[in-house]
Amino acid sequence: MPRHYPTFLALLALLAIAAMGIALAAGSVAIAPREVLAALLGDGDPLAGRLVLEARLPRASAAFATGALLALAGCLMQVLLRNPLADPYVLGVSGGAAVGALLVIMLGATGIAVGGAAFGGALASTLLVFSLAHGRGDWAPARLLLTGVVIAAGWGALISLLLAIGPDASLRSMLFWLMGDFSFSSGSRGAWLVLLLGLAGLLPFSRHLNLLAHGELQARALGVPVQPLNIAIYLVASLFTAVAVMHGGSIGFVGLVVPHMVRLVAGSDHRRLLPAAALLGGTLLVLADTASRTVIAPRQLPVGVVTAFIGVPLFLWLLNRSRSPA
Amino acid sequence: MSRLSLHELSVRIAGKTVCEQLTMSLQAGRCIGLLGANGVGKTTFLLTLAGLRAPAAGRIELDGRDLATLGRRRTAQRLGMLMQQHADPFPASVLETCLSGRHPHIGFWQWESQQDHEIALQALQVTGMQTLAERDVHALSGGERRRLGIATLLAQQPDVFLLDEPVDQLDLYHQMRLLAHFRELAERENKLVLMSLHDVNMAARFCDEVLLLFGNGELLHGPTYRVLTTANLERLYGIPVRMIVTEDALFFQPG
Repeated sequence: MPRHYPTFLALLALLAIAAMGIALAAGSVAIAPREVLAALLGDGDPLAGRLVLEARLPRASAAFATGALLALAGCLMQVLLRNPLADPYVLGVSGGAAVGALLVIMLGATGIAVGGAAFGGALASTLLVFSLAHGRGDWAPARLLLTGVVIAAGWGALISLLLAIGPDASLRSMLFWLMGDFSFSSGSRGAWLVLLLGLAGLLPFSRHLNLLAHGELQARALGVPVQPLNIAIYLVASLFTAVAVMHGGSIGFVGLVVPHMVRLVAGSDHRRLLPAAALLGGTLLVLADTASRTVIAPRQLPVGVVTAFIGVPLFLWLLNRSRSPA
Repeated sequence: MSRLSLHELSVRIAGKTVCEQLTMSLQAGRCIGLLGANGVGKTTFLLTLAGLRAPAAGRIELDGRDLATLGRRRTAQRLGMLMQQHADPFPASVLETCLSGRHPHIGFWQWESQQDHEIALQALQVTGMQTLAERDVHALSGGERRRLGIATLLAQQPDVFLLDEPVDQLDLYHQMRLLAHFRELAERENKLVLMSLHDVNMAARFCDEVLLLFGNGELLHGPTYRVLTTANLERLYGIPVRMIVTEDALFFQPG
């Protein structure tokens, strides 16, 4: 499989561009591909131009960055906890974000305030779990997992409480946020910055991640500074997740399943896995978001629901296809 | 040449003393067997010597340099350890896994070179895994996974091999073949091999020296023929042991 990797990556890149094209063309007003191109180049019909550049492009770009961040955070959490079932939310980052976001939605806030509160909640949860898991000096992933899962359960109870006592008027917004929603999203420049810097910073350490996947002791025996690496992975994955939930709410599925999809095709080597997962995660979320705002337009579906609708059959197909007698 | 020297080394685990104020020198070119009952601290002892666990007191020198300050990567270039267990939560091919042994020799910005591939393939050859190179590790049997662990260590090409029950799970053919290979590495390439074993007869056959761990901090180290006696083994395992001498070898048998 690895021999076909360049082809695979090129295919993913083409797919990503195609998804962006669809996202820009589709919507309440369909815009022909030629006009989309004209709008991107700055001429053509001014109305279509504004629709493409000011409404659809920022949203698609936020969706792409968010999907890529979630997929990368999923890869990192799975290595950190050496558990294929881990996802970006398993340690409670999204729970903290949700509590922050729901609180300000209850108070009537919209847009950037919700994103900001989500980001703050995510960081607070990250630091809380980190300091609790640190215990008496040791810092083992098993302890981190238990601490994170328990904190996540605590956030879950708080979320239910907020939904129960929240005013009817904001209930719908709150539910949408929980299922993933890009309508709160504002400029995604920060997300792209985190994504590109993060990916560039991670790639040189990919071989270390490969070793860490075989266990801490084995990794240390082969010369990997495991403890600093563990802490760095946790913080980077949490930052990625915090930025992602700030833009799209807690979108499930992408962070759990995209890493597995890529592993099925390209193997587990993180030097190949990380770039491919970022591309596939971004693409999947752009398509899901486009579908969520077009399928029953003018109403919108929560994007998290659509990611699962697209992702579940895709994943099962890949899984079935790859089950060859080795 | 003293490859690994212990200076007043004390190792303890869970309130138990593995060794106390131990000063000893392990020479290059020797194949040394580490024997002891379950739970006396063989693994702990090996992990400490590998620099993967801090000793309670004392220090360890690798080629005259303090292991505590040598750094993980520099240590891994010279010293390798075969763990008792291998974890593979994610799919990976046999060759990929074996190549991971090259990690300490590959620069931060580099990928595995052609030479690294050749070294890994050679290691797979020695362990009889070459035909399985493309197979997923999850499709291996217990013994095959063990041989892959050994191949990964061989690909690391350290000067000091610390082996935690290397022949555990191996069939008789591979036990003989791989122990002979490690002995050869010691003899011909001047490597130091220290391995924990449960089979006294394998130790008698392949080791120049043995190290008996009694579990109360007491320890016996010396040439195999001098240390492996019925009296010492009876004390080590707490059962009666008979020695059977044939024309060209000697065997130990319980009872």
